[in-house]
Amino acid sequence: MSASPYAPDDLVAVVLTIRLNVNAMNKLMALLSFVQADENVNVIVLREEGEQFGVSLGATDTEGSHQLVQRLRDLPQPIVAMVPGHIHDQALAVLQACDIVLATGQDNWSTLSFPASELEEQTYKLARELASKDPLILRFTKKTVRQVASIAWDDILSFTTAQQAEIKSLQAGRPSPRALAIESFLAGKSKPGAGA
Amino acid sequence: MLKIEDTADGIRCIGLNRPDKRNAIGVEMTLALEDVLLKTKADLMVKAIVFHGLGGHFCAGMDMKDFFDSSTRPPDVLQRARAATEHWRIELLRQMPQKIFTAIEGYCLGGGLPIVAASTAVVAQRDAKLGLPEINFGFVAGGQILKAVGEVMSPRGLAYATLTGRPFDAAQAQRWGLVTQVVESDPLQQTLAIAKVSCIKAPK
Repeated sequence: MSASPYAPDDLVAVVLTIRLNVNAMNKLMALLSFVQADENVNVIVLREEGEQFGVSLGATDTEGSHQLVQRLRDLPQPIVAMVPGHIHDQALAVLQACDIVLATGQDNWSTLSFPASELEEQTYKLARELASKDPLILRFTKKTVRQVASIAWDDILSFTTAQQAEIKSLQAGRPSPRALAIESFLAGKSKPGAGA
Repeated sequence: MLKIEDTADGIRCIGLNRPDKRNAIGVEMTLALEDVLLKTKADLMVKAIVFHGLGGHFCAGMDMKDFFDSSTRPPDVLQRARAATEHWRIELLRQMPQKIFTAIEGYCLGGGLPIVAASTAVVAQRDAKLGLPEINFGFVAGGQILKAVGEVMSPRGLAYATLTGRPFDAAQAQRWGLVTQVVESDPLQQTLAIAKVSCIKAPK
């Protein structure tokens, strides 16, 4: 893999910030290809400079924005979108490719809403919290959530069984995070059900 | 493990009854759930089913001690219990000829959610805590649970709950489609009232 294309401020720990930029759509596509294969990135925050989300897309042709949405959908890392204020019409498709949307308005495309003054803080708090989880489990959880609706009930059990086997083989040779977490819970040292 | 009571109106109340474990579903409870649903499915006298939890919680999910890495149960017992679990949560809940109603207070997590997802109406006490905390235990929530929940819950809510593992309250669960009504107290009483009306007006 070539040298990282990320600016130092964009990749903090394992959370990568991607800023939509009207003048750099080509660069963005190349960046997303790199991110897709980068195991050092656990979580992505998608945002845009300014008070609107998706202005950059307004300046892109339909084909360009379709490609962007497709590239975002292919990312294995969870994407947290930060939407302050107004959203540009063409950006709705982009939000569809994001997993969690934090916004200032309570619209049907947002997951949670916060006052404008708290939005950035809450977005990065959530992103860091996601990044603290087991990266393999995080990616498989995203994949499962995205896939289950299109899997028939008759096939759901074999899907789950196959996935568990795949995770087990990928975890081979390292201590099972599940065994450690359950041991800690049973010993009364952690309360995963309460969110931690 | 279960407290089963039939009302004069033809409502079968199934209470998860393991309060010292916040009604976590262990081997005995999962076998009892399969059994009661099988019997109820064939019982023409039962017009509706109401699920609830005893002791202040609905269900803390599957019992970690029984079902996961640290299980001390003999392999044949575990195998039978796992088969029973998939039977009631994938097949029976979705095939019941009666409508299902659920009352929630306290915790309602992970393996308890397929019951909620199969319900026509769900009444939750305001302080109830719902969630899919599997990721905090280092594993992926089962596809069969997420599929069931995803049929009633908004995709945004499902992604948030599974990826963060954070619990959410009854009002949020209502916004995301998992809960029908939020009440200040006694969700069971309100659930029974809804089930009763449903039996009179729209027998399934």
